[in-house]
Amino acid sequence: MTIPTRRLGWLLPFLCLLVLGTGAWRGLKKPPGQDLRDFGSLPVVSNGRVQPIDSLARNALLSIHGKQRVPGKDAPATPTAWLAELAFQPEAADRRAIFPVLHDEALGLLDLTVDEEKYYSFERLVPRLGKMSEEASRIAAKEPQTWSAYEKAIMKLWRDLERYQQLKFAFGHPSTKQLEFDLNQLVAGAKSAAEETAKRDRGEDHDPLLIEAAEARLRVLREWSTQTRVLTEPPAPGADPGVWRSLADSALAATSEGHLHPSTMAYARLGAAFRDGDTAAFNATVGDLRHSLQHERPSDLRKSRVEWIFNQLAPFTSCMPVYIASFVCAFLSWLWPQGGLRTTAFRVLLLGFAIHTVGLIVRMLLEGRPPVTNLYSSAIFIGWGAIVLSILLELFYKNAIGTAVAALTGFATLLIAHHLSLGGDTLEMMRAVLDSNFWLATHVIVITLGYSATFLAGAIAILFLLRHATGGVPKTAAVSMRGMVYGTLCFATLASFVGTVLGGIWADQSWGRFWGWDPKENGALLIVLWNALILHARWGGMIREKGMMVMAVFGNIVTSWSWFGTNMLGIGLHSYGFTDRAFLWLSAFVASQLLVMALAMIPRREPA
Amino acid sequence: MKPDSNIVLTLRAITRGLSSLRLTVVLLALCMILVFAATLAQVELGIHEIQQTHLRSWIAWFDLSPGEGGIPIPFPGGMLLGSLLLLNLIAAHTVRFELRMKKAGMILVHLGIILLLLGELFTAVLANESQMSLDEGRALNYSTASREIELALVDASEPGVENVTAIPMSRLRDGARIDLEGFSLKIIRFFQNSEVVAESSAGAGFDPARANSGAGTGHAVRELPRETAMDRRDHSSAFVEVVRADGTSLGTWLLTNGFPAPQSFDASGRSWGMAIRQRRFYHPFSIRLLDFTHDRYLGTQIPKNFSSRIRLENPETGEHRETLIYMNHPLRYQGLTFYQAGFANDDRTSILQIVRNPVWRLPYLACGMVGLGLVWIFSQHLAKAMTRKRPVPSS
Amino acid sequence: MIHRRFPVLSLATLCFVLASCSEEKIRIYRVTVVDSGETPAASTPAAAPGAIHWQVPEHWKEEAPGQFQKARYRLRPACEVSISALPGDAGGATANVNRWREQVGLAAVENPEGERIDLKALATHATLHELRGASKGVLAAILRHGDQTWFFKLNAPVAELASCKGEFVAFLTGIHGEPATRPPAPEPPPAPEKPRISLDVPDGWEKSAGSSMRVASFKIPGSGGVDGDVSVIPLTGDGGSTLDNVNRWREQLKLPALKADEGSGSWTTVETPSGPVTIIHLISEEPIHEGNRPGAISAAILRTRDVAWFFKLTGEAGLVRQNQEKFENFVRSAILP
Repeated sequence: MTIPTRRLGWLLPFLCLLVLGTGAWRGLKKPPGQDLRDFGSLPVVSNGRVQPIDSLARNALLSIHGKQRVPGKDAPATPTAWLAELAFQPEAADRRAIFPVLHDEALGLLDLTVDEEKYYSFERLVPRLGKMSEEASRIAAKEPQTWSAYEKAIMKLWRDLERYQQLKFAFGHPSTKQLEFDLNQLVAGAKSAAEETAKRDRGEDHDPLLIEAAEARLRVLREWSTQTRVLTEPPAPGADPGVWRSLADSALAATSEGHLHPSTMAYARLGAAFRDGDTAAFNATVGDLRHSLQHERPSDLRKSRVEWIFNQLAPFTSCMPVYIASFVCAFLSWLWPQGGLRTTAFRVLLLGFAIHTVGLIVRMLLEGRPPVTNLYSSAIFIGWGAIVLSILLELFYKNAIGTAVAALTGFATLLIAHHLSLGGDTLEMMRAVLDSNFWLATHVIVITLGYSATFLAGAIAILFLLRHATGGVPKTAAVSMRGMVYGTLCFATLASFVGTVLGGIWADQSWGRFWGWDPKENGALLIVLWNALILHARWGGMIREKGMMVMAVFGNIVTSWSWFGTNMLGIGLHSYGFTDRAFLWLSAFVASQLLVMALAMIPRREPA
Repeated sequence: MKPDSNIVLTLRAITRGLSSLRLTVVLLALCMILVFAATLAQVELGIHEIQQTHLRSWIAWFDLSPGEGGIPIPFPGGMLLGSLLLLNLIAAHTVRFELRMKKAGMILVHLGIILLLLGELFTAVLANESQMSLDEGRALNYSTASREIELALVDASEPGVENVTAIPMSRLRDGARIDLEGFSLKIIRFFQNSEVVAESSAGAGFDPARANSGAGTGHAVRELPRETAMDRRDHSSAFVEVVRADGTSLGTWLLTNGFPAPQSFDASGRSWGMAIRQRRFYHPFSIRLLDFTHDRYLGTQIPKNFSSRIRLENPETGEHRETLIYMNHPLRYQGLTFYQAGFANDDRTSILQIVRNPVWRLPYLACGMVGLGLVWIFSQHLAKAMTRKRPVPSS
Repeated sequence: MIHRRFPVLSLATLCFVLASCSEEKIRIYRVTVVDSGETPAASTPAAAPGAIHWQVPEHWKEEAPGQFQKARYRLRPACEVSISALPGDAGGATANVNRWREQVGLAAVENPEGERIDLKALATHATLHELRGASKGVLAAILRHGDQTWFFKLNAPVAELASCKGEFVAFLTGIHGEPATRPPAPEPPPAPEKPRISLDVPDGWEKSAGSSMRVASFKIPGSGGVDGDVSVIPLTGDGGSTLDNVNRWREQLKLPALKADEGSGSWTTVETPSGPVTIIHLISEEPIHEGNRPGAISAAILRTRDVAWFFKLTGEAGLVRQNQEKFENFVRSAILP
């Protein structure tokens, strides 16, 4: 019986598309509870950039809790819902157990017993805030490199608590349930206080209580102003383009201007509507806000909306199962070469690649920068680059090895990226030193392609050695793999050398020093040296096929050192910090590569 | 014809040995080990120290077991490996490669690498980095070394002019005697990095030496290990005795770069101010900081951009021009390059980095050559691969 | 052809080269001093309308002033006086005092009080702050003159602070100059010096720092580290309905909220000279404080024409109960001017 393989070849990609489409539709449709979709896409400024409230909520929740879902039966369904509860019903939000405390000594400091719970609510942590604050100041005075695991745990918890509090004060003040009323009182009070002050200065009869009450309110406002860094009031049209204001500062300004900004009143009203469960009033107010933003900041509103949609669709997470499907297909195509599974696998890969590319492009548009700006985006791009090269290899060699390797690296890098996203805002602003689109587009991209190529060569070599260990590699496959690895290594040498050189030129332009022996620079140099070493060893006849494969796998170790290991040292111009878990993962990866390299010692067997 | 003498035969054998590809591979591997070890050692010793001990030395000593009792193991240093690689490349070319179009790519690549190595060598020897820390509204006509101090004796009796006698750091050693015009200085104690406290707070571990003149009286000094972090400097101190020509002592002063004001004494009919300060490089021109701006990202302290508006004043050439120095846009003037390096004092002080590197163009040239050569080689390979028969797809 | 004497010559050159680069040379040079006094137009501070002069005691050694300093003197090796002036109010007294407090290792405070030093010659006064850290100490005087703020700061080890103080204060009183031709810029609204309510403070209640919203604040020392806290806060308007406030306090004690009809029985209204006062006493059912003790709140609301005064006593249940009568008397004693 002949299976209509031609038709089936399109079935799987189509199925994948269907599944993805359903997921996307589900992400965009209304979740249960209040309709917070429009609220989530409102732009605010935080961490130096304009972002939708949804991103603010998502990043905070991810960073604090490690997941995008709050635990509990009646918990808010989406990060935005959680943020709304935190801002408008803080007493309820304070009871959600979202803060993980895992370290024994940290639990000890906080007088918490090691029960089944790993997560604690803000309410449970409040009584120990004083103790934590002392510890945090003590630890903050030391060099971050010297912190023990306990100290890192405390500092992370402390920072998360600060972030949590910042959000609590971002859209309202927890001590009042009638913010709109209070704000109106504030403005009225300020006016009468000003009148009374004038009377006092003229020596007339005046009411000092009014002045004092207004002073007291101002003090509360000023304190509120220091408690959040989220900016909600957009700048007036015609004013300095960059200057947004927080709710508190807007109210402070209102006391002298005599009237409140409509956006501030709107946020105040939102709180009351949310607490009353008045969906109609809530959405009407959000609509008003959007309307006024449409007039004053249409581009911010649009970008915010795009980012909101991007968050809901989560393209990089959707890619991952597609890559798995592609890999499985490619693997099966080696067992049943005549099933047409090779083309299916390739098509599924292309689908995943398309989504991956779209995600990359949207990120570029949102940031206004070339694709690689931080560690997270480097992971996304390394995967993308490796897939591009593998697609070329597959088109040339047509043996599903390219597809398999593409799917493998794509999945692995996206997984790494997902873990990196737990650190916070992945669309964060760049430090001034790195702020140059030209160099970001040239040096960083080329050297990241160098990483991609080295990883790709390593991945093909892993496949080779695994096949070698489990029954030997058939001659034709061996020849093609050899060619693939060699070609990729040549490209890798070129890309890593040119990329490193461009980095040197950038450093020369910025700091007057072409080469500073910085750990990251050294890491890049190691990759160039290793790739050159493999090629020279091959040309000198010192290694053959198996040797080249083993050395290519070692290249994975060298590249992962350069990519992650150098960041963990905590010195030099490239230091981002050290996380215990990352070090464990890196060591595990290195160990796995060494194991694969050891497979080469198994004597070669010709396949039956 | 005379047969080749022994010397020539030996030379030829050596050259052949030097040109081997095996040696290249071994040298590359050794380089990798050195670079990796140097990167790890940076955590403890700092980048600057590493450059001296590992990368610009002939032998690098690896301390395998940290702490006391560790046996240092010698390993070829950067200078040694670099020189061997250079010889290897040159030998390889003289022995194996002929000047043909086909080999043009390879020759270009290796020539470029030779230039790169030479460039790093010359930079190590010739380059000079210093800094200028400018407050808004003030001008400076000198820059300071960040890791080197000097003992400066300044005669400021003439208005508007300073006559400076600067004693380099390398000459400041315990017990050293420096003879100057009409008097000499005796360095009783010199501390590369130290802590200076009031005598009353001095405990054990503090040096017994004391000063009997100047601002340093009543202070005690303790030696500290050298600073290795990139953003910290050593606090150097010295107990200095001024001795007249006839052998009598004028007193003992405590100098430290924590006391910036010069401490004065009279000798040979002139009044001198003495101080330990970062080594100064005076220039024939001065730079005046007019305004420093520091843009931050909205609502954060993350720096977005910093720039200094400066005025260059050169009395010799009569120049009096304003220009802007900011990130990725240095000022190149009189063989020096001025970079925006940092800022301080609540955005009122701008810190410029000044680099003199006569061979700064070498790496550009070298990398251009290597890049070109690599592209040549790989396009040759690619062309060959494309025109070759395509492999049969595995069925 | 290699010359016979070549090796000898090269060896000699080598030795010579090595010998000459043995010691780094001493550098002797002449340089011009660059005038650094010019200030660009953009950031010129306004010229002081009246200059200030001071009499420098004889044994004070003048030293080169640091950046942004007008003058610097050394009394003793470890005691130094620096004088600087900044435009406007230079950030305010609190910010500056807290900055100095941080320098000597003390925590920041909200409203630092200083000693008043009269400067007759200038017809004004300076405020002197004494800060004692663990090892370092600071005596700093802040003087507003014209549209500038002058800082006179003495840095000394704590042990010597007392002995330097006399000299320093004598120096301060000797400051003279032309009185400011312009009136000083309006100062930020002063903190209320006295509460505009007079109260009889019961025994055993200690004044405490409280928060910026409080007009009066007290601490009642309690056992087991749980102190009682008393606050008096005025709010404009009617301060919300009694039921809302009671429910707010009930929530703080983890008690369930009362519905509208349940409420009126749990609080009483008392007549006082200043008007009717609503008093309520609440005790929590669950342990709130350390040691499994329940908490309690006694609160009172005094409503006047424009302001609602909130009196609140919080603490551990036993302590609050002991102080209940004192609290009621305290509230009844309130007299509004």
